[in-house]
Amino acid sequence: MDINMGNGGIGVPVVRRDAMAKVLGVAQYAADFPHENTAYAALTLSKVARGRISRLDTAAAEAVAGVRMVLTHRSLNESLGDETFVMKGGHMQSSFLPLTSDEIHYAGQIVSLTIADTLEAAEEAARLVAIDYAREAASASMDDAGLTEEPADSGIDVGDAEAAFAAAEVKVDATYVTPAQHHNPIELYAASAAWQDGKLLINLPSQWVMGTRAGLAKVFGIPIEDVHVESPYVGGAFGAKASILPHVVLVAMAARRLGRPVKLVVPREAGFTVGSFRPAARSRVRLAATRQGKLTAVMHDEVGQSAVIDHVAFAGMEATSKMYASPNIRMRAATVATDVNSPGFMRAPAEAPSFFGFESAMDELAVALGIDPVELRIMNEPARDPVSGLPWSSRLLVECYRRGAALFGWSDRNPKPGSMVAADGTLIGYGCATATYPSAMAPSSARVRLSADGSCVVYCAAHDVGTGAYTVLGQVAADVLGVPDELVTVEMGHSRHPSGPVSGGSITTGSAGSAVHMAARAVRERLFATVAAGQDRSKMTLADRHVVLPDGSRRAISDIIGGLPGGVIEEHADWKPTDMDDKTMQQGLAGGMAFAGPVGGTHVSFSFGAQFAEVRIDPLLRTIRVARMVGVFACGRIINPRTARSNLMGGMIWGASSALLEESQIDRARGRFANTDLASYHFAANADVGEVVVEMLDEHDSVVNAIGTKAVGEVGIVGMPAAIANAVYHATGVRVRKTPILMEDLL
Amino acid sequence: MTSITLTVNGEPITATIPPRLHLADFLRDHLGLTGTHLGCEHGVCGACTVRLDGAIVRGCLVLAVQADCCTVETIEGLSDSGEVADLQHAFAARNALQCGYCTPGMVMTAQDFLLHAPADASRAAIREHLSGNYCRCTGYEAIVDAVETTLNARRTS
Ligand code: FES
Ligand code: FES
Repeated sequence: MDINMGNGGIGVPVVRRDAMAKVLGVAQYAADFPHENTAYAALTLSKVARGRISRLDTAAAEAVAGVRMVLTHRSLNESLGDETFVMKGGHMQSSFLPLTSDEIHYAGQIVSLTIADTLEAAEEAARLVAIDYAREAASASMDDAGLTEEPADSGIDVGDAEAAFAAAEVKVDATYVTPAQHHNPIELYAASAAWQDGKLLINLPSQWVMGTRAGLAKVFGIPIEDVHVESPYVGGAFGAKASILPHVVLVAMAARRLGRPVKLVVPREAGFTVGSFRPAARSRVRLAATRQGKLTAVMHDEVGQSAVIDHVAFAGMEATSKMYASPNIRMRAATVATDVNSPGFMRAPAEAPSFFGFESAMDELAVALGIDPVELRIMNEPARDPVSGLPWSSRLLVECYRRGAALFGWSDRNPKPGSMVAADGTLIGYGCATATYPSAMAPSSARVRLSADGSCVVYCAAHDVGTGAYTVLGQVAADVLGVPDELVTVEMGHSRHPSGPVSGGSITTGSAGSAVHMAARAVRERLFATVAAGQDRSKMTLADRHVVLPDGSRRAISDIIGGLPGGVIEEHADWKPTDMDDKTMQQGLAGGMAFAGPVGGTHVSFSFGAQFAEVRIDPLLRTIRVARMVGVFACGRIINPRTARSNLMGGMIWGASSALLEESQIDRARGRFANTDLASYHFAANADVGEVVVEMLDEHDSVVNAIGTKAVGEVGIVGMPAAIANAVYHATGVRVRKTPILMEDLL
Repeated sequence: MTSITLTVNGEPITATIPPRLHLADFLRDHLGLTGTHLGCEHGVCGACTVRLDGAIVRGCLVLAVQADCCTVETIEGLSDSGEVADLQHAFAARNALQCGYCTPGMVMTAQDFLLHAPADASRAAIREHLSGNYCRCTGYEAIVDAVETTLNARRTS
């Protein structure tokens, strides 16, 4: 493909490097890798939510022709050892590994893994594994009676919010609920494991190849170098593929025991409980203001669904407490343990549920004050972080609102609910909300190689989960080295590459990108040093495959590098965020979770956005359509406007989907997720989405990192559900304080 | 085991297979045509879309034995023949793919739309036709852009 001929540097809308492989159907995802003589695995899942296995009979399953092994808690006799849950410093999706005991902790728990010569035989046998359970009462919903809230160790307090709230002239006090949701990337979870000479090669879709390698090495008690994790293409992740799922360990154990490669593709239904999910949450928001609209108290109490087997907490208070200027802020969080598989990261894990409530409450306050909701937010823009008092590394939220309002046509809005009606009677509603996401970073390594022919290769064990990292990381190197895009190659998604961070928390570009930048600069330095020792390097530049010397003369890169031993210049860099100590950095580079930010020693770094929605509601049937969405974002420097726009747009469509469609329904009597397939777990199809407009402001952030980038991947979803709920209120006068917002909520 | 004879991407194939094998698994595991993806295995997501005797079907809902004596075309076949080169180019140019997992199925369905759509088909008609193919990433807006671009280009060429 020749679309990209020419400059492939920072800021250029370079076409995705992986585009052709994907449109041609040749990109290899985890389940596409052939291993010779592979055996196929199938799962049997628990039908009860809590209890014990009282009887287990695998005879019928083992009698199926072609069956090689039926792994159950009786036959496994292995464990995770010291390896544990990702939120306890390990790499696993859960601290509990199925098949290590007869205990059942949640419905859909793996109770056996059957392996056969063919997939069909494995599936048939898996159905024949006979199990009886001693069933105990279970609660999969945090609304079940008798469950207790466990308060978090710490909250956030500025001033005296309770007193200010009690004394306030205008106030809002409301509670908002969001349901459990599942990521449902279109690519199913999969794992394909092969052992050779004590070394493990595993293909799986991964957002964290280094963490997966470190975790599996620990589980199997083998050196880190003996584990190879391969994940060049990932068919969507959204947080689902960030930690090691239990089936991955079981498949590797089975392959070792059988002495034969084993492959498992986890069926969609099983994915609901083999993987993680976004837990349900409840937000009570209390806002108080003067009659003129100045906030005097901001309070947010969040309760999140957790699991009995693992404590998981995703309160959004770190972000909501920083949204608006208020002298008094009080944030609290709590969790409720339920009998479910461990919840996990899902696109803006803390922020998306939290902002639905918080930004709905801001709209309710605007209504109570009779102030335009855009103006209310602008009036309360904080000059500094209201909690730490530190300056922002950059914050153009007001500019986002001004530009977004203009793009959307906000001035056409008649604030009176139900006042905007189309000629056919359709109710029209306009709503807005703020989006934000922390710009954290993690240590990363990278290697950059420049060859005599002018080509450049970037190596980093980061991942392109659809975000565009293959393209973006190459652009960073191309920018430093003046290499045209068609001569850039990027190799990622394999644990043999220099250490890359987990692709979660919207950190890849800032972290891996900074490492690539550092390595590329080292290559440039060596090039300059080679060509003209003793000359002023700061006056040398690179252009068109030539080094331009201070006197204006040019030396071809091919001549310079061609004369070097090996014919290449290659540099490795280990990069860490400014405030991180060396020990934490080393832990991170060795496959540990090591984040810095968004609150640093000298500044606070978040991405921001203003989001607008127009809904159209049938006056009788009350069907809701999102006709238009507009999002204007300030995310620092945009390396590639083409891929960044798609991330933000994808996030906004997720937001619309979340607002109107998505819910993992819980069958409370049986303590299980009820809609565990794509026919009944609804998310947005093409016809559900109207026009989507995305703009990114030209924001210069010289503090956040050397390349000036902030978080892009998740901020797009954050404000959208509230913007839509606020638009629904504007269209109908009905305030719905839960998602998904359904037609029956408007009757 | 059953023996079937069919044409896949122009090549005659004879295979002995279990009757319960579905077409998508046959293409992927037996013929190595892994461009056909699986996302739900019950006909909802469209990732497994292939052409069977010229009409698009869900590879996960068709048994391989049902394709006996039929012609099957997959993304690999359409790519090799160049039939969808312009559409694929438009997908890349409009960034109508992110993770790319839905993309082969989306291209198959989009080409089906383009072959049958009136030249003045609207964006709404494109959206409607593509609504049986999920893109979770979600590039819907860009996918509609890419199909519309191709529709316009084919009309004028
Ligand atoms: S896999 Fe066939 S429609 Fe989803
Ligand atoms: S590009 Fe990822 S599902 Fe469509």
